[in-house]
Amino acid sequence: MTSGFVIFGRLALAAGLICLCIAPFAFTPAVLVLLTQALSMLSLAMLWNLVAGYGNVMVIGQHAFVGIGAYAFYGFAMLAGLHMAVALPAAMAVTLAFGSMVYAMLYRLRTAYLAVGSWVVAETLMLVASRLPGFGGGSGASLPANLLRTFGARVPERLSTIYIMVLAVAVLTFVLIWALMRSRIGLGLAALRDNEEGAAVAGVNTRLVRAACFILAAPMVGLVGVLVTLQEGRISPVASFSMLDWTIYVLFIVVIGGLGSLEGPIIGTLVFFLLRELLQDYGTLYLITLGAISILIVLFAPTGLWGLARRKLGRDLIPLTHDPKTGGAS
Amino acid sequence: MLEVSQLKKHFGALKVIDGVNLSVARGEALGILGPNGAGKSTLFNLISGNLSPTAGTIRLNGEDITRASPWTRVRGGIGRTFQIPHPFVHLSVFENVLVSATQASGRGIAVARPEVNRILDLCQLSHRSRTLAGDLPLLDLKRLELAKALGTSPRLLLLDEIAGGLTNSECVALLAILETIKSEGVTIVWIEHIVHALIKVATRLVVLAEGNLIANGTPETVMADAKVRDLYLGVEA
Ligand SMILES: Nc1ncnc2c1ncn2[C@@H]1O[C@H](COP(=O)(O)OP(=O)(O)O)[C@@H](O)[C@H]1O
Ligand SMILES: [Mg+2]
Repeated sequence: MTSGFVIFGRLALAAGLICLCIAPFAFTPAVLVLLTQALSMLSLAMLWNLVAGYGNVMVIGQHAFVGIGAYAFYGFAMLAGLHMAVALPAAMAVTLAFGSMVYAMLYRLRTAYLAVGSWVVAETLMLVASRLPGFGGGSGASLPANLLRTFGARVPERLSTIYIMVLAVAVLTFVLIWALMRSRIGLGLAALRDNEEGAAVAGVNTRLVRAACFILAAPMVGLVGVLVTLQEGRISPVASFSMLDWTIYVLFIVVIGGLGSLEGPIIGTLVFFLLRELLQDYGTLYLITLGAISILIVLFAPTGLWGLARRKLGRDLIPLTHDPKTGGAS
Repeated sequence: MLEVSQLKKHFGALKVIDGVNLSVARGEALGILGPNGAGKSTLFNLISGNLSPTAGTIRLNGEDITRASPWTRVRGGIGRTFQIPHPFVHLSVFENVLVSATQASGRGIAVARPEVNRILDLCQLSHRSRTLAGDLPLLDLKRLELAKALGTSPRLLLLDEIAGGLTNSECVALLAILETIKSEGVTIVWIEHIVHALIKVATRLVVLAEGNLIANGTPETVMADAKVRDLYLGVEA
């Protein structure tokens, strides 16, 4: 039996998606900017959740790939003068290459060592970025107006073009992860999330699956990095490689929402931006509140808000389960 | 089928497995006895690849698997249960077994479904198939542990203390399941303290104490062995 709450939850998700689709026509530019940021964060949260929540690879250096995506895009589009349509996939390819290299360095590390190791790698890459010739050094560089004008002659048009791209990437990320989790490989990932030793003796190639999550998430994170660059109109080591924005906040979103679930990042993003809007006039109080909530969640609800709700509902909002009967409802 | 030679596992100064030689023939049902802390579960961890040995070799059907990963060994036909169940708590009982039925074999989810349902039937878990593994009582968790191992279609099945805490009738039911598995030609190695249950299935017994095998033979000769009687005096008749 599908309970009323589950139907309500699914309707809310569908309504949310419809709102997001009509947003460029329905909302003011200010709201559109907020939604663009939220959807970028949602994509990053879904990807970090894939790597850390399902793959058990607890990295806190995801911001490196945002920065690499941004810098690679700038390099291809501005320094090499390539067309957008080439620069964008090329930037993703560079992030993929870095993802593979970083994983090769880190894959033997676990828990706190992995967290610290990935952080150190990310900080090192940021320092390298700040010394790259042609990228504006420590203060970064702006995208020229003619490049930005390819997204629209005037600011509102530009905002909606970039918004639509960000929405498309968020939807794509969601659909890819959902399809992955519905597949045989995703079943192995879910087992890995719950019990790594048990998964290995059930036949899950845990080494390969963990590597695949990490390495394949990297170019998607890089793509978000490109989109963030387009939103901001500039690259800089501090902003493009911002640990606070692209890792700490993302971690907060996933932990609050629920690590290792599809619903978690969505709920976490909603809560995060709600809190940000409510508390934005209070400065540090905002950060303190975020910290306090995270600590409470980790201590009392380690499966996050969605974990709490899931127990009450007894089933997922986004169906992932496999039924004993062929064609059975999920 | 399985050939373990000069196997050692040391944790620092602690020599948990210290030169074990053991071979298991195809179709055999081997029982392993031994006091707590003797190294029995560690021996299984070495055979299944969850731990790598300090020294020695492990062969499966003549092939050296000493350094192989757990999932490669599963493909080679080794299935195991853990003494402390390792369920996938956020997955249903059906999905737990579906994992082992699809991952090693590469079978699709739809293809594996009938086989998973057959195993759940055999292990008396059909009525629980949609329950989350995290919500199961201990008895069902132990059944699930067996069902998960069977899902990999093992040729060699390693069972680590699956009869502990069962009532008499539950134990009888478990023995019936094991007889079915045995009759399908699966080789069984069973670590168990419940000796009266073990000797109903085992065709041979070995006793592990302090990292070494101290007895090896038919159930009658091993249970009559002076060293073994010494070890088990007052524990089992
Ligand atoms: N990973 C480990 N690190 C250190 N010591 C261990 C480890 N695993 C097992 N041991 C030790 O090895 C000994 C044998 O354990 P175990 O194989 O579980 O015994 P049994 O299954 O026969 O009761 C125990 O003293 C245990 O504390
Ligand atoms: Mg044990």
